[in-house]
Amino acid sequence: MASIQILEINKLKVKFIIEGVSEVFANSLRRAMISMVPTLAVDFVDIYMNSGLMYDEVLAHRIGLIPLKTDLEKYNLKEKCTCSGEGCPSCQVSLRLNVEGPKTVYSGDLISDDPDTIPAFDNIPIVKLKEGQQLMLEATARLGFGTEHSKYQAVCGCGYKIIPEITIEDSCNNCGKCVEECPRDVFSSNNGTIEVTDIYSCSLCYLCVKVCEENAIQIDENTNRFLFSFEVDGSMTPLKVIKVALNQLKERFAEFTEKMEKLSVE
Amino acid sequence: MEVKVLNISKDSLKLEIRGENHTVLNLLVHYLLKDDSVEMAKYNTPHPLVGEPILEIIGENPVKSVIKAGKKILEDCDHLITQLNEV
Repeated sequence: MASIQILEINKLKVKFIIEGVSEVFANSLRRAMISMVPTLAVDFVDIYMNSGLMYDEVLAHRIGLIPLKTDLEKYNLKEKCTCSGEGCPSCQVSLRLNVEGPKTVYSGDLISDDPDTIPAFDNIPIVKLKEGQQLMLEATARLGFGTEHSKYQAVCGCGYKIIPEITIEDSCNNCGKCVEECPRDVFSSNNGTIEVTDIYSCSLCYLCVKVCEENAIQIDENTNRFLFSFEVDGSMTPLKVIKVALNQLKERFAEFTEKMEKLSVE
Repeated sequence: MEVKVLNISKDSLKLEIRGENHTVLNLLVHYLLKDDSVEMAKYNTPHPLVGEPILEIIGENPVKSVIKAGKKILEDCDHLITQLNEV
């Protein structure tokens, strides 16, 4: 049976273990977290005035990459919205920027129509303006998926690894070579006996097996335990990302089984 | 997700599953192969950019197996979601 256990969590990072599922499920969850979790990002910019040194398109690109805090209950995907893709307050949000130099323009200077949809960090530099230079623009953000552009991707460095099972057999002569050889410090020597103390950091390099003269170390990779870790870009909490990804997977299979049930009736 | 039935018979099923990729299909095939009544299950995307994946199953009752596999995945997802809601 599938189970999940969260090891470390804060606003931007998470580390958790999934147990009782195959590596295929783990990989699907990883792919779902990367490409099935929608986030808001600017994809259209109206530039009214730009007397700064940066070109309009470079400026628009920089604004597009700013992560925005996303409330998925509040916004619809543009193509699935009731306005049929024309753009309305429930599928897009506009951010205004009106600044004059001399100053460095930060993401915090963007003024959003919706007070909850603001840049995740207000210290991302956009452009430097000299005295007399002016910038006036309106940016429109919408929801999108990571498959379209990485600015819509909620996670960074999302990956998983197998948590193996390392057993030290009785033939171990406590030589301590594995403790020295292991680059991740998985083993430790406790009063002369070798113990596995930090199994989560094992990278399956098998150096301990190679160095052991007694062949006393056994590594089992088929444990169906996976250690996931990822960071978010600030658009939503890591927990929310996992939930949305699982719900997306669930939605697909619910739709699929429903269609197949209809087929079996026919 | 749009499912187009390309071929259906008593012991085989061929589907075109539009708008999906490895995330869904690899998982489905893996769960199908756990079923003893399934002889063969595989999917192929003719072209990674323009093609739509085609799923082929041969077994005693492929439609029944597909429903069973789909429900098993839903169950696993549900377990994880309920546990996450408690955190």
